[in-house]
Amino acid sequence: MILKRKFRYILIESSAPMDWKALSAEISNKLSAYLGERFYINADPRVVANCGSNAFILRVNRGSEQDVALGTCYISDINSISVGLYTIKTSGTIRSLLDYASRAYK
Amino acid sequence: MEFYDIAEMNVNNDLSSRLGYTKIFGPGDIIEIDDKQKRPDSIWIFRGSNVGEISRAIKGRAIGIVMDSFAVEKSIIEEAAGYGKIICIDAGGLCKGERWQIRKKTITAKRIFLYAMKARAEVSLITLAKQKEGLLSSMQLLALSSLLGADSERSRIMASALGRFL
Repeated sequence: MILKRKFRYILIESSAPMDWKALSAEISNKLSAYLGERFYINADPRVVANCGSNAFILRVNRGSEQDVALGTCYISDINSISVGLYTIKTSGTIRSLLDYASRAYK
Repeated sequence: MEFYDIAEMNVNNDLSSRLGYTKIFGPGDIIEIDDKQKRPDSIWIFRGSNVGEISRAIKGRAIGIVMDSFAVEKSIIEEAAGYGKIICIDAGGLCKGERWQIRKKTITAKRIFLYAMKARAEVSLITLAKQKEGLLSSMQLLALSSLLGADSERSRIMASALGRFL
C-alpha cells in the first residue's frame, strides 16, 4: 500500500521583516513549545518558501491548519524581535499561494 | 459572512482585507469602546471592570460589554443576554503574557463563553490591539473561538457578530 502525505500550505505574514534562515528553526521551536509535542508531530510544520521579507509559506499536514493557526497567535517574538504573525490564507498547492503573495506583496 | 474586528489603533484597509476582515474599527470610527459614551452618534461598547457600571451600561445604550476583570459574573452574563447585548472577549489579551497567565485567561474566557451559551447571549471575539504585533487574522480568531469551545458555525457567527449593528 502506498501512503501519500497530504499537505496544506499556509501563507503567514509577519509584522516585521525577518531573516529567512533563522526563521525556520525558531518557528519550529515556538510552535512545538505552544502546541505540545503531539500536535507538533501531527502537524510537522516546515517553512518551505519566503515571499519577500515579511511573508513566508508554512507546509503542514492536512487537518492541522487550525492548530498551527492557533500556535502562531502565541508567537510574540522571534530572535528577540517583537513580531506578530498573521495566517493570511491556506491552500492545497504552494503555487496558488505564491501567486497570491506576488500580487499582495508587490 | 463578513468578519469585523476592533483595535485600539488605525489599521489600513489593505492589511484588514489581507487579514480576512471586512473592516477593523479603530479610534475615531463609528464603534467606540470606553467606560462612557463620549460621542452621541457612535455605536458604544462598554469597557470596564466595575460590576455596577457594567450593569448600568447593559441597561443603557451600550451594544456590548468588554469585561476587563476577566472574572466570571454569571448575573452580568444573564443580564446581557436578557437585553440582547454582545459579550466581547478580548482575544488579544488571551495570547499575551506568561504561559500561566495565558492558561488562566483562556480557562476564564472559556467559562465566560460556556455561561454565555447557556444564557443564550451573543459572544464576539475582538483583538483590541494597541500595536500591529497584537493583531490577529480572522483565521486565527476562528481558531481561538474553537479553543473556547465553539463549533465552526458558532465561530463564524462570533467573528461577524458586530455586523448586526452596522
